[in-house]
Parts: sequence; structure tokens; C-alpha cells
Amino acid sequence: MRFSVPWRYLVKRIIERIILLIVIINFLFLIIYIIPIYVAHLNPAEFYVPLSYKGLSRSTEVEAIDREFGLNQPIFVQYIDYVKNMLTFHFGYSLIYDEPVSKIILQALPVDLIILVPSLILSTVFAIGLGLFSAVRFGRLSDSINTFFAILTYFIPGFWVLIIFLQIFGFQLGLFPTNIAQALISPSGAPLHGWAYIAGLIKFSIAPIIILALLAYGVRMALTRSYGVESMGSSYVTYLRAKGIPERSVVYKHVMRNAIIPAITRTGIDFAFVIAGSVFVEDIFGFYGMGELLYRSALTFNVQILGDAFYILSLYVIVVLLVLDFIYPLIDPRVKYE
Amino acid sequence: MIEAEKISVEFKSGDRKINAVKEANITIGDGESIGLAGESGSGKTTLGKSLLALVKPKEGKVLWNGKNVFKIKGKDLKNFRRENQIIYQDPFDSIDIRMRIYDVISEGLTVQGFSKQEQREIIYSALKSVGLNPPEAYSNAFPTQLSGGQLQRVAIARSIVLNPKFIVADEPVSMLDVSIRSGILQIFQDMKEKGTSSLIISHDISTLAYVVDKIYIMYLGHVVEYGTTQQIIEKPLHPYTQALISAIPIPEPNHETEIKLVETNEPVPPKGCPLYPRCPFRKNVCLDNEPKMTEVEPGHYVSCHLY
Amino acid sequence: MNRLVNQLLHRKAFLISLVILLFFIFIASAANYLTPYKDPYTITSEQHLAAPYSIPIWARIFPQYSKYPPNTNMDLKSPLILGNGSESFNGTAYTVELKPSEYENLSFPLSWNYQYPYSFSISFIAIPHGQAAQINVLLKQQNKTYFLESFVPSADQILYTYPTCPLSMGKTNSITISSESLSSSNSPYVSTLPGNERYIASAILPQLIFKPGKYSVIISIENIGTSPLKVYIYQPKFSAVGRAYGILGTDNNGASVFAEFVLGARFDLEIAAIATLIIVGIGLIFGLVAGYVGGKVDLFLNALTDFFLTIPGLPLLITLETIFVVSGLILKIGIVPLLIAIIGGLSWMGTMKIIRSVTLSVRSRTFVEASKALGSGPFRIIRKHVLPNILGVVFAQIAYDVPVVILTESGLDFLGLGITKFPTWGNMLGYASAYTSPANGFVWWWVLPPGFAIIFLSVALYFIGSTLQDVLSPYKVRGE
Ligand SMILES: Nc1ncnc2c1ncn2[C@@H]1O[C@H](COP(=O)(O)OP(=O)(O)OP(=O)(O)O)[C@@H](O)[C@H]1O
Ligand SMILES: [Mg+2]
Repeated sequence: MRFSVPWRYLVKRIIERIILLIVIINFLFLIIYIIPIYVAHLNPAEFYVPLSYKGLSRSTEVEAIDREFGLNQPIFVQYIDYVKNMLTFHFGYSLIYDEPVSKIILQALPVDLIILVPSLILSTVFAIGLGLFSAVRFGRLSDSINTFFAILTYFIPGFWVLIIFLQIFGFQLGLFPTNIAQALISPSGAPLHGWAYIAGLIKFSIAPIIILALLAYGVRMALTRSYGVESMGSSYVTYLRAKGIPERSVVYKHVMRNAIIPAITRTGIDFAFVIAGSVFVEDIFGFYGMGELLYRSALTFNVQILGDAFYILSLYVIVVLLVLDFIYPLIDPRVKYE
Repeated sequence: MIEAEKISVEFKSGDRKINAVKEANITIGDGESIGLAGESGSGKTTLGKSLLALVKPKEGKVLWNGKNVFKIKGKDLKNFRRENQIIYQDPFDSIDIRMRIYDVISEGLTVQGFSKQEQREIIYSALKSVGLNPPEAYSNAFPTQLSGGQLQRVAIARSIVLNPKFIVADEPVSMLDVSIRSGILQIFQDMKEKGTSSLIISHDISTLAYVVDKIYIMYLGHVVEYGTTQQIIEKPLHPYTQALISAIPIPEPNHETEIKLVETNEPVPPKGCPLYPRCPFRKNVCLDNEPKMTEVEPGHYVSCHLY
Repeated sequence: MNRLVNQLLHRKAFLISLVILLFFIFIASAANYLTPYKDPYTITSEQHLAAPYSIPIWARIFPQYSKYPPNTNMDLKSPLILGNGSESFNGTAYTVELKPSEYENLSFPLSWNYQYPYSFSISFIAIPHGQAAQINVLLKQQNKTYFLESFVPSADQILYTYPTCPLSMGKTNSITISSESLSSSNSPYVSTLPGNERYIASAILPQLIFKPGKYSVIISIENIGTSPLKVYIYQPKFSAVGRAYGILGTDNNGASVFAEFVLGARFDLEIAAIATLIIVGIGLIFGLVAGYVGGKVDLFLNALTDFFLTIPGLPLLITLETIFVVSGLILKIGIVPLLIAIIGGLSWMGTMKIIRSVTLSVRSRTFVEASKALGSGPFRIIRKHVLPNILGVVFAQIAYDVPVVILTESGLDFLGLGITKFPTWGNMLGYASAYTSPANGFVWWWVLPPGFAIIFLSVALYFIGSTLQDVLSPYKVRGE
């Protein structure tokens, strides 16, 4: 089958996602500027100022910020500036961190991927394995138990499991380092380098990776199972069986192919939202990713960073979803262009 | 009087468009009983529903006492609904299985503002007249406890309690045993005598022949022929009608030879006659020109290049 | 209806779930009767009920906890009398009459079957009549004696080489010797301890003194004057703050975890109920309108839903809440309504999608058209036909949304971004995580109950929802 590029579909998708992005920028402008100014009668400049900065008085700072960010301009000028800045990634300078905002975000972003991406992959492996296991044993006790545990994972508060694990295995038994800083120094306290650094990182990451994977496989396991069961009952499989093809190869060749595609496409969507849900694991295991950045900004009321981090997270979601729009039709023929 | 002018109905399913009805004209005079026949999928139900403004056509209009039924609103609409009723083809789908039979039948009466006492009497007598005796036993039952035939009679009862002036009956007897059929057909006969006009839809012309005054024949959304029952049965003109009628088993030894349509996968020509691919008498003109309705004898119309 | 109830009651999963749900509803609504405490987070008198991190009483069935003491309060009785004076007991007071330089010891037996308590105290009332008396309080175990405190008239205090406390002659002295207030300046025993132990004596005294065994509390009275002395001793008591408390032990403040759990249950169920109403309300209205009206309205509502589905939820929640806090709007609205509004306002999308799709499928059924053909308007059709037919889905959705709300709200509380001022299951976990360190071990009685409660409640609701959906589904109604 020849694959033709479905231009109309792709263009439509791109336009949809761009509209979404613009709506999000407007939404952010609404909550960061309009609500404070018009509902709470606040000067947004207050958000940008640390309690003290290089000995300047607070009102001087606010004035300076007003000028710097154009916050004393009419609201529509500010709006245009804001949209422009967001689209061109000009996030300005954080007086609170004393660093450019984009640098702060760029430092946080990759930290997530060390743990979140491997755990996503691992959970997909769990999901497919356990899903097929259940599909083949559909209706039996082992299937019920397996499915029950998968459903259970929907409802287990992740942070709860993480703290229990941290307390028992980290604090009590000392099996693994309980935060990233501790993981990256040698027993004598010197920072690690090279292979030792990587080994430390891996040793630190294994626990959260496995826990996160165990907490997240449920939905995809259920997907695999239900598609697996469906294709086990399909007439094509009946036909294959009637032809005398051994059960094993029926399952592996036909059922598996049909059953794992939904789990894999779902993994893509989860990949888009994975950073957004990383707050807990980052907070509990003490590594500084986007989730932690967002969380710290919320605790310290750093609206400037909060808005920008939120924007970057949304942008990340949109970009990943857009990439998925392009990839899905290649892996799943059932996804139709419209 | 209900009059459909050039009704075209289009359905979209996915990216495919189906022309369920194409430029169909049909007139039902007061007190008249009309039959609508055609094979499965020819658009009979769709045409019947558009007469009652239950399907929105792409083009054309339906006039009820001179008013376009797709535009009426409010009180007019309510009157229109009361005076014009439909009996659906499939009672399993057209009756809400969560309601008791009594509530199924009373729904129209409630909407139309009948009091509770009035309703009770009307419903019981309607149940009796469709042969669901004793009505007390049936009215408390749930649809799932009834057979298909009984349910069909509930559907009929639901429509006749409003005492409509016009009723579309979509395959009203196809679900019923032969023994009950005549009883139901008798109901239509009685209604006709009371002056109710009706459109009775069936894929089986022989059933229609007993009850209706006129018969319309549909093929692929087109009305291809119509005339009085006698004209259609005794002198079918359109090859499709002829094929339909010759398919009826008639116990006469020296009956005319059967007319058989061609089985083919040939597509319907975009501008020509819809029957072209299957017509045993097709000519070149049929490929490019759609035939026009012509009156071959008084009251007997056909659209076919043979005439 | 009976048929439905019958079917439901025949499902084991449903019954078990129902029992679990009713259990939580019970403890939530009976919270006021189950615990006398209103808010152990802010009311300090509701804290320090026992040692911080006390284990639950029942946990003493485990060998490693078996000797943990509960809170103890006892009257000291039947003393052994030793000495050369005379003594009598009239049922309320011990009267000790001593000639000069005579002494009398009241040695109250105290059998202590536990490990050390968190703290202990000995109290009694002494009324000495005469010129001068010395009253010593000692704890004795076999051959070890702990000289806790000594009371002498203030004029005589300088005569002693060990620390003493003042005693007022002829007056009522309420004497309380509490391990927490003993120091090298008032306790002879503490002053003999080595330096480093002396400084933390108040904390470690119980550990130094108590282990399982027979003790005696000795109140020793001596006439140190030159004329006869008569001393009345009333209400001698021993009490100890235990390290095992209540059904679920205590938290870092010594507040009852059970009280927090029960109060948290009440709050969680309340917030879940209200937020779920909002979610199902929005989801139902949008879903019904989109599904039933169709066309442009559907397009718009669907796009709106997709928009909310695409923005990352938890970050949005955090951002919005912060804005409300920073801009001071939270003071006008209050944190609880704000949380409910934000969680409800950002969680209706899944419900909307599902209601929309079932509405679409019901709308295309012929019985809906039949109703229209009878003259019913849209509202009647929705009320009489669409709603009853999607009821199963609506119930199921309620059951699925409650856990989501509880999980989200608990997550925010855990992070300290939600409710922090009174107990919720979420912030119990948050505090449990913040206040436990390698030093105090795994405080399972504090950490486990809220988490298991969330899971049990959620899973129970899930099974109730899916059973309802199944039983109300058209296939079941038709008996297929
Ligand atoms: N709601 C709908 N959506 C899409 N297509 C439809 C719809 N209703 C009818 N059709 C299509 O329109 C055409 C005509 O359907 P219709 O039900 O009017 O035929 P019919 O003559 O009543 O057939 P039958 O004798 O089987 O009842 C068919 O091809 C059918 O598939
Ligand atoms: Mg039909």
C-alpha cells in the first residue's frame, strides 16, 4: 500500500493547534494581567519584584519594572507585547532568581526526561505484557485479578506510594539515595564526575522509574486487554485457528499486533502530558524539573515564572500532540484522516 | 391534504453521501389511502418521514393545508403533529423500553393536553381495537415482555389514539402473523371509512392492493410510477414495477412471463435513468437523459423512456 | 425498580463496595460523636494528647511494640509504711505525726509493665503543720533509688548540698513532680547525672528510669525542726504520658490521628460531593446540549472541551490557584469554595465527552423521533427519553468523578497548595511526609490510613459506578 501525504488533514491539524496556542496565550494574559489589574486592583509589577534587590527600595523596583516591562502602558499595548514575547520566547529576567527566565526553564526541562521518559516506556512494557496476559486468559481468575490490580492503579495516590517507598526503602533500609543531591556526591562528599556521575544518576532514578511505571500502566493495560479480547474473538482469528495455526502464533502474530497499537498510541498522548503530572515525584525525590519549578513558583508566589513555565508546558503538549498527529496514521491504519 | 414537491433527501454517512430521495412528488388527498412500494433501501421510509417533517430534506417542500411543514412552529406545529401520525417500521426501536405500555401510548395524549381520565378511556379502547385484550393486563407490562407483533400493535395504538387525519404506516403488518394481519388491515379500513387518509408503505405490493386507492412505486429514491391500484396491478408500465409485480406468486397457470431485472455491479449513470444498469429494455437515451414523468393514461404516470 | 434493586443486590462487588462506601459515609457523618476534637491542627489543647508519633494502642499486639506504655493515670494506694513516727489513714488523707528528727516513709507500690513513657509525673497535696519538715520524693526500683525532688521550708534550703524546692509550712502545697520540669537545679538525681545527660534530662529521664518491673513511689517525710510535726498527704497520684494512644496513634504534635482521619473523611466527602455535582452538572448540561442540539452548538462546545482537555491540568490548577491567592481574591472567596470551583471547573471534560456521545446515540434512536412525531418538544424528550436512557452513564460518571476529585484535592493539599489549616486526608499525608525523617522511622499509622482510605473509597465507587451502568444499560433492560 502506498502512503500518500494527507496534506489537507495535516494543514487542518496545524491550524487547529496554532489556534489552541493563541487561545492559551490569551488565557494566560487574562489570568496574569486582566484579573490582577481589573478584579484585584493590583499592579502586576509586584509579581516581578523580590522583597529586596540590591538594596533598592521596593517602590523604586516596581517603577523600574513598570518601565522595563511596559506595565505602565495601556492594556492593549501590554497585550500586544505579551503575545509577541510569548511567541518569540522573550521571557525577560527574573529578579528573584537573578537569572534570565529562559535559562531557568531550560535548566529544569531536561531533568524531567531522565525519569519520566524511561518510566513511560517501562509502563508501556508492563501494560502490553499484562494486557496480553489477561486477553489470552479472558474471563479466568488470573485475568480478573490482573485486571483488578490494573484498575486499582488508577486510584492509588502516586505521592502516597512515593513517600511510603521513600520512607521504608530510602530512610529505613537505606537502599537508595533519597534525593538527587545525595545521589551525585561520593561518600566523602565530593561531587561525582564521568561514569560515577552517570552511575549515581541511574542508581537514583531506578526506584522512581519503577514506581511511576507501576502507577501508570493501568489505563494502557486495560486498552491492550480489551482490544486483545476483541481481536481474539474476531472471525479472522477463528479462521486462523480453524486452519490449524498453533494458538501461540495466532496470539503473537495477529492478536498482539491489534492489541498493542492502542496502548502505543496512548503512550504518545501520555508522553505529551507526562511533564505536567511530574510535580509529585519531583517534589518527593527532590529533583528540580519543570514540575518542581512550577510548584516552587506557586509556593513563593512567583507569578512571572509560573506563567512562563505554564506556557512552556502547554507549548510542549501542543508540539507533542502535533507530532503525534503526523505519526499516528503511520502506525495505526484505523486512525482516519478526518 | 399533504403535498410533497420535489423532495430530495441526502444523508451523509462518513464521507459518503446517499441520495435517499430524489425530487419526489407525492400528493395525498383528504380521505385518500396511498400505497408506497419499492425494494429495500429505495427511500420509502425517508419519503414518508419527510412528509411529516421528521427528516429535513435538502430541497423541496411539503405543504400541509398550504403551509410548509418544515417552517411551522408553536401551536401550528402541535396541531400538525396531532393530525398527522406515523407508525414506525421497527417497534423495537421506536418504543422506549423503559416505559410501561400505558405510558408509551399516553405520551401523545399527554403532550396534546388530554386529561388523565380521558386518556384512560381512549387508551383502553385503542388497546382493544388493536387486539391487545384485556387492556389492563397489557398496559402495565414493559415492552420487553411483549412479542414483536404485540409491540407493533402497541405502536399502532400509540398513533391512532390521537385520532389523526393522516397517518404514515411504515410496513405496519410485516411483523405480524397472517392471522393478525387482516385484523390490522381492517383497522386501516375502518380509519379510512372515518375519513382518515393514509400512506401505507410496503415492499410487498400484494398487501397494499387490498387497502389502498393509489400506489406509488419508488426505485433508488426516485418515484418511477404511480396510478390507481387497479392501473398499477393490472397494467404496470415501468420495467421495475413489472418486475416487482411478476415477483408476486400468482396461482394462475397462464400468467404473463416473468420480467427479470439484470443482476449487475454497473454504476448508476449520473444523468440517466436510475434503472439503466438493471433494465432489460434499456436504450441509449436512458444512459444520458433522465426520463420525465408522463401521464400515459388518465391518472397513471410513469417516468420511463419506453413511453 | 424492584427488579433493579434485586439485580444490584446480587452482585458481590457491588455489595462489598456499598458497605465500604457506607462505612466512610458513617464515619464522616458521625465524626462529631467519634471524636471530641474539632481541629487538631490549630487548637493547641487538642495536641499533646500523648507522645508525638505514639503508636496506636492496638499495635501493641506486635512484639516490637508490645511494651509501649499507654497514657497512665493512677491513684497511689496501700503504701508500705516504714519509719519511726506514727501514721494513720482516714480514707482521704494520710496523717503523719513525727517528733523531732523522726521520719516516716510512705512507699506506694507501682508496677510498671512497659517500656519507658514519654513523660511521667507524681503529684500529691501536702499540708505540713509544725516548725519544719522535709518531704522527699523518690522512685525506687529494687536496689536503685532515684531521688527526684526534695521539699524543705525556704529558710532551710541553703542547708542542703543537693538542690531542693521550697515548702510552705502550715499551708497547702500542691506538689507536682514532672519529668519534663526536672533539672539539675531542682532535682538531686538529675544533678548527679553526667554533664551531657544533665542538659537533656527532662527528655531522657523516663528512659533512664523506667523499664518493666516493680517500682515504688516513696514520699518520705522527716521532722527537721525541734517541735512535733503533723503532715497531711492527700491524693497521691502517678501519671505518665504514653507512647501508645487511641485507635490510630498520634502525629508529630501528639494530636490524635484518628480524629484527623475522621475529620478529614468528613471534609473529603463533602468537597467530593459538591465538586462532583459541579462536574456532573457542567458535563451533563454541555454534553446533553452538544449531543442533542448538534450542529454549530455541538462544534463549539466540543472545541471548548478539547481546549480544556489539552491544557495540562495540574499546572493550570496550580497557576490559577496561585493567581487567586496573590491577587487576594482568595480572601473574598475563601479557600474551600475556591478549591471546589477550580477543581470542578477543570474536571468536567471527560464527563461531557461521555454524556455527549451517549446522548448522540440515544438521539438517533427512533423512539426519540417517535416522541417528536407525537408533538413532544425538546425539553420533554430530554426529560422523558434521553435522561432515563443515559441515567446509567450519569451514575457511573458520578462514581468515577468522586475519586478524581478526591485525588486531585488530596494532591493539592499534599503539596501545601490546598487546605492546610484543618485536617484532610491529603494534608495529613503532606504533613506526614514533611515531618517524618530517618530519625522517627516509618510512621505507618499516620501515613497508611489516609492513603488506604482514598484507595478503598475510590475503588468502591468505581465498582458501584460500573455495576450501576451495567444494570441500567439497555442490554440488561432487554434481558440480553
Ligand atoms: N439516518 C440515516 N443516515 C444515513 N443513511 C440513511 C439514514 N436513513 C436512511 N438512510 C439511507 O437512505 C436510503 C433509504 O433508506 P430508507 O430507510 O428510506 O429505505 P426504505 O425504502 O424504507 O427501505 P426498507 O424497505 O428496508 O425499510 C438507504 O440507502 C439508507 O441506507
Ligand atoms: Mg423503511
